[in-house]
Amino acid sequence: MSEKLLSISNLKTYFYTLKGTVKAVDGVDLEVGRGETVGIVGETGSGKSVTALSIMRLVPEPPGKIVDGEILFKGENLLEKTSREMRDIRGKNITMIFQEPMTCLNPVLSIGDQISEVFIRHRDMNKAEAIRASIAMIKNMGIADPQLVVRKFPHELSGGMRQRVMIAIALACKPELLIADEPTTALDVTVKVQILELMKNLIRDYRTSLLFITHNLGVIAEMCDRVYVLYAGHVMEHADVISVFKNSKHPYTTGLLNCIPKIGTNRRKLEDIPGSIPNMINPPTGCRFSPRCKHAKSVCKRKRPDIIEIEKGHYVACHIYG
Amino acid sequence: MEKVILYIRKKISHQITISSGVKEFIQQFARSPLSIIGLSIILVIIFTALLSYQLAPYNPIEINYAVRFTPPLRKGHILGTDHFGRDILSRIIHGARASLWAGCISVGLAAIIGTPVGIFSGYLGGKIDSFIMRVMDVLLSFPSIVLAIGITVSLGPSLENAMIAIAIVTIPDFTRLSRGQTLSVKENLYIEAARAVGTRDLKILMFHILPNILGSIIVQITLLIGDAILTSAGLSFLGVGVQPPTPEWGLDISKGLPYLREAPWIPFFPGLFTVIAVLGWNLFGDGLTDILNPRLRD
Amino acid sequence: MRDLLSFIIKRFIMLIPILVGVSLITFLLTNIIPGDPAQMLAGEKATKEEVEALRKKLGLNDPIYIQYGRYLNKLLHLDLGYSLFKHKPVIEEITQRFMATLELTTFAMLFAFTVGVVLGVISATKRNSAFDHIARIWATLGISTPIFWLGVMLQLIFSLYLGWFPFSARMGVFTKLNKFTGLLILDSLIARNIPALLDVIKHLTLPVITLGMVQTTLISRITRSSMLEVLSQDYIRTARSKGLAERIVVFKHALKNALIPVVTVGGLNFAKLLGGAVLTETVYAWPGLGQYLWFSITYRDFPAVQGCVLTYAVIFVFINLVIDILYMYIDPRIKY
Repeated sequence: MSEKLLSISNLKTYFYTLKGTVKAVDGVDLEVGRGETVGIVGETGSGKSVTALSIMRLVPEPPGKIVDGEILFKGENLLEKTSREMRDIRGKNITMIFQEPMTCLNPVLSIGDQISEVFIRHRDMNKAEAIRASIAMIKNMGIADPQLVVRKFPHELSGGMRQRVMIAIALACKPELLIADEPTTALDVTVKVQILELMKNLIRDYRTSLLFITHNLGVIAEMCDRVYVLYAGHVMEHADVISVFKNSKHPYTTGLLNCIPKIGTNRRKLEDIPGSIPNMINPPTGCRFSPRCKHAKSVCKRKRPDIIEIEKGHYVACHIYG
Repeated sequence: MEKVILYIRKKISHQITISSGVKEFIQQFARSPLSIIGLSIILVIIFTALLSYQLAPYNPIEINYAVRFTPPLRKGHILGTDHFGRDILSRIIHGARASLWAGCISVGLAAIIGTPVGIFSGYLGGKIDSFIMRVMDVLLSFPSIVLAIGITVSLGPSLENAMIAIAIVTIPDFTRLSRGQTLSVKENLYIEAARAVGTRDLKILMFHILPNILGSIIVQITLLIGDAILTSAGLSFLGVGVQPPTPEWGLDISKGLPYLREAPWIPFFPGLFTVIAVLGWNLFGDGLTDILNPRLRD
Repeated sequence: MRDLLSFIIKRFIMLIPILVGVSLITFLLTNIIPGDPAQMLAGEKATKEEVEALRKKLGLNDPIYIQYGRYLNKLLHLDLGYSLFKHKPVIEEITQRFMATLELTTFAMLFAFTVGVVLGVISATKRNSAFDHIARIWATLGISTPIFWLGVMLQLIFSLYLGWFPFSARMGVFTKLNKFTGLLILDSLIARNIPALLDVIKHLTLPVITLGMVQTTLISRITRSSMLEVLSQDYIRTARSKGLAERIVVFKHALKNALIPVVTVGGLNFAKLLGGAVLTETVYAWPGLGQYLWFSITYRDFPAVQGCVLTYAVIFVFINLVIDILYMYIDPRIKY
């Protein structure tokens, strides 16, 4: 069993605002192994994006701050690294792609320029070599006429193409870990499928681990080996993808799965989870899902449930099970 | 149909609740120290200008060769005297009148003329709009002082003509602003609703558009008064504004120039007070901008 | 290249109505305003007969549109009238003085841009620091100060009291320089005349600072707010996620984007700069268009005033065209 590539323990990231302290991530443990694709699923406000930004240490400080925890990458704690060391890691060992390809590329710099940057920064190439390498990457992304595209500007490309460019930038230096924060959410359905296919092939070829963040369960099923279910800054359940889908243990996970309309059943009404996500400045005590949970008991409101291994490889944090 | 009427009634009653918004406005205003400083300066200047005859220790235009070129901090003349022996403090106090007058009247005139033109232009659209905007473009092709100079020279140098000139030069600012605001308000649903019910255009303009853009107009007025005071001082400095012997800050600076080496206080103090006055208006305007347009805040 | 040319031509054609409008306004300034144009043009000392003769000669009894047509015709032949005070055609005086104003305004703009952008970037990257607060207060002070007073105070302190800089004019009386272009910095470089170059620079310093000061504050304000807006954009986060040095993020990724509105505002403010030049030249006895305008006002030389006003407008219209073209190079999103 290889050493885990990424190991997060008790991560706490807070945001200090005028209205109070938002405890966006409040004690999260997470692991990604080499060559694994791990998904983080949750609603808006669950803390999944903040977790990703915390790994990259791109949380805007102020108002944010990583107040506690450990993020071990290849055995070293990223939270203890200097800015210089983090800059060496970003773009080379750990990279990230974001949700909105429209706004994530610099409008006044050419595509070639924006891809070359990583080659120049991390692979010590000169301008000419970097452009050649960029053209090769663009070709790998399945974009036609890479020589033409390399000189274009972002506004001249479609959304799908822009996301491919983002992926090219992210995978250019063959990172060990790629973090993808809702990469296909803003894309058209047909393009979504293409991008996901592309990503699957590339991370297999490059042997990159992928941390895939989304609120879309279908995409999780498509892409991931294991999945973490996040709610209000806490992990509710995590297991391999089949166990989570077929055998969900946590009421929240079950609720999420039930929200998906299934053709062929006799259900009349669309089910949903009553209530809404809690106020993250004053989150509920105990289990954060308890206000919305059908099965909530008095202990749920008092004590936060520990994560226990209910079956092999299947972990859940719920008082139903202990 | 009833729903539409209900909707319009709601919008009109919204205007009435603005009065409660005034209280909130004052509270927010009180939180910004710079705006308060600005407002204080403005009030002091207004006060000085209105009561200049009572406040000034001496007659500002009375010549007294016996005490000419008295330096500041001497007995009786705290800011010194000029080349005619006139007390500088008194000239400064009376000069406030000219500056205040020039600033407020010219910008007020520009607002009164420019705002309706802009509203009509934006509301009616089409060829009228294009034409009016072209006229404004032409006006804006002249540097403001230059055009103001041209107008004042043609009309004859005086404070009144300088005010007219500054007003004309400032009109495009208001036209553009109110037109832009009108365009964005025009899109709002309740205007369509009012139209659908058959409200006459003029009524729409008065009750729906104007109250909404009033805020920006007021902010713009305060920001432009400072500029107008500077332009007026500039015109007087060049000799086309206020004519001697009337006290005016810009004029006094230019008259003091030949004595710069021997009596630098003569041009110094009028300029200093100009800076303070304009600063007051600018700080106040900045404060208003922050409150009424919070998205522009950093 | 052809695109660029057709763009310039298209824009130029759009300028024509504006130029016509400008000429109409300068025409109206002397002809529709109350007051007798013939009297004004003849001067204050003319007799009644002379004024009447002049009126006939100038065709002032003709309908107004014919007069305007005549005026327009004259303009197209570059005839701006005859200067009463200087006793020569207005256009001649203007061409002689143009270069002086050009040199002054160009350096003032360069000064304002450099200092303004640097201050704006520092303010934005060190937001809410002591530096930022001082810079903002100074900016507000800057737009509250009359240019001419600033000029006079600088003269007082740095020239009269400290003696570091000359009091006025473009060159010392004893400096010898062959003038080719009229742009003295250029001329002294061409002639490799270093003493003259130093002299010219010394004479330029105070006027450039005076004229540029207001612009500096305006530019630093807009740079700051523009940088703040750009720095909060997603593509800056992308740049940081690549592990790029902060220096590159700020100057390569952020600044280029932030400068777009700065150029816009700078361009719009060029008119203010031209206007400010009038006051600055008056204070420093700078032999440019501004000083000519002041002389003309003082001596009631109406044709000259009219000619100057028109010239300023035409200059500004063309500067705007130049800036529009500049945009093509700065913002790749602009398509023609």
